[in-house]
Amino acid sequence: MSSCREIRQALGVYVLGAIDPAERAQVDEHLAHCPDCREELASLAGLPAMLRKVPMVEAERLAAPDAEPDVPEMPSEEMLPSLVARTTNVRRMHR
Amino acid sequence: MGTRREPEAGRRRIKGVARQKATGNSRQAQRVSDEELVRALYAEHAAALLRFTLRMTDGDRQRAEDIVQETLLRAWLHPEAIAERPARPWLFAVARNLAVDAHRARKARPQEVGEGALNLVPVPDEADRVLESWAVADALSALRPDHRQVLLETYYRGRSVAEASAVLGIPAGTVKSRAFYALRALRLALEERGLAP
Repeated sequence: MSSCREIRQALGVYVLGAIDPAERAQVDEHLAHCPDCREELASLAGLPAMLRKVPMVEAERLAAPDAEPDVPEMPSEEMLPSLVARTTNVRRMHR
Repeated sequence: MGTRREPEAGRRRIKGVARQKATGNSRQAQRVSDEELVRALYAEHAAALLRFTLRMTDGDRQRAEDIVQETLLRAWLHPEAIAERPARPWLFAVARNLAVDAHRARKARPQEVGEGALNLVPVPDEADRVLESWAVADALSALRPDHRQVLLETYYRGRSVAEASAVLGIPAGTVKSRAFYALRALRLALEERGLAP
C-alpha cells in the first residue's frame, strides 16, 4: 500500500507518460479510492497539452545546457521617460 | 514580513500607490502619484514583459518595446485591474492581446505581399496558436534548468523513468520528484502568463 506522498510524487511522470507500467497500476489503484490525490492529478492533467504547443526543437533549444543564460533584457533608455510623458498627456486630456 | 521576496514588496508598493492615486485630491499629489505608479510598474514588470514580447514579436525589438509601453500605460490607466491580485497574469494577457492585434494588423496590410498568397486566406486562429506556443516557451524558459531537462527527457523525448534516470545520471526517485515539481513550477509560470492549463 503506497502513501499519498509517494503517489503524488509519481503523478508527474504519470501525466507525462514516463511512469513504468507496474507503478502506473499502483497509482491507478490508489487514485480509485483517494479523492485528494485525484484532485492533485486534475491540477496537473492539463499540462502535457500545454507542452505539446511547444515544438520539440524549441524545447531542446531551451533545455540545452548552454542555452540563453537568463540575461534579463532591459528596455531601452527612452521607455520610462516616454511612459511618464504619456501619463502626463493623458492627465491633461482628461482634465 | 521583512523576509518576503522582492516581487511581493513591489506588489504592495504598487497597491499603495494605486490607492493613493485613487484618493489623491490635489493636482500636485495626483501628478506625483501618477509618476510614482508608472515608475513602480516599470521597475517591477518592464523587463519581464519585454522578454515575453520579444518572443511574441519574433525578436522585433521596436514592436516588443511598443507593446510593453502600451501594456504599462494600460495598467496605469486601470490600477483597479491589478490592485488586489498579482499583476502579472493581467499584464501578460494585455501584452498578448496587443501582440495578436498587431500581428493581425500587419497580416491585413495589403502592401505586404512578400509572404505570398497564403496571406489572402484569413486564418485568425493561426496568430493565437503561434503566440500561445511562444507564451508556453516563455514559461518553460522561466523554469529551473533541471526542471526543463527532466521535461525534455520524459515528455518530449518520451523516455521512461528508468531511461531518463540513466541519461541524466540521477536516481529514478529523483526523476519522479523532479518531474512533479517541474510540472508544478510550469503550472505557476503559465498562470503568471495568463495561461491556465
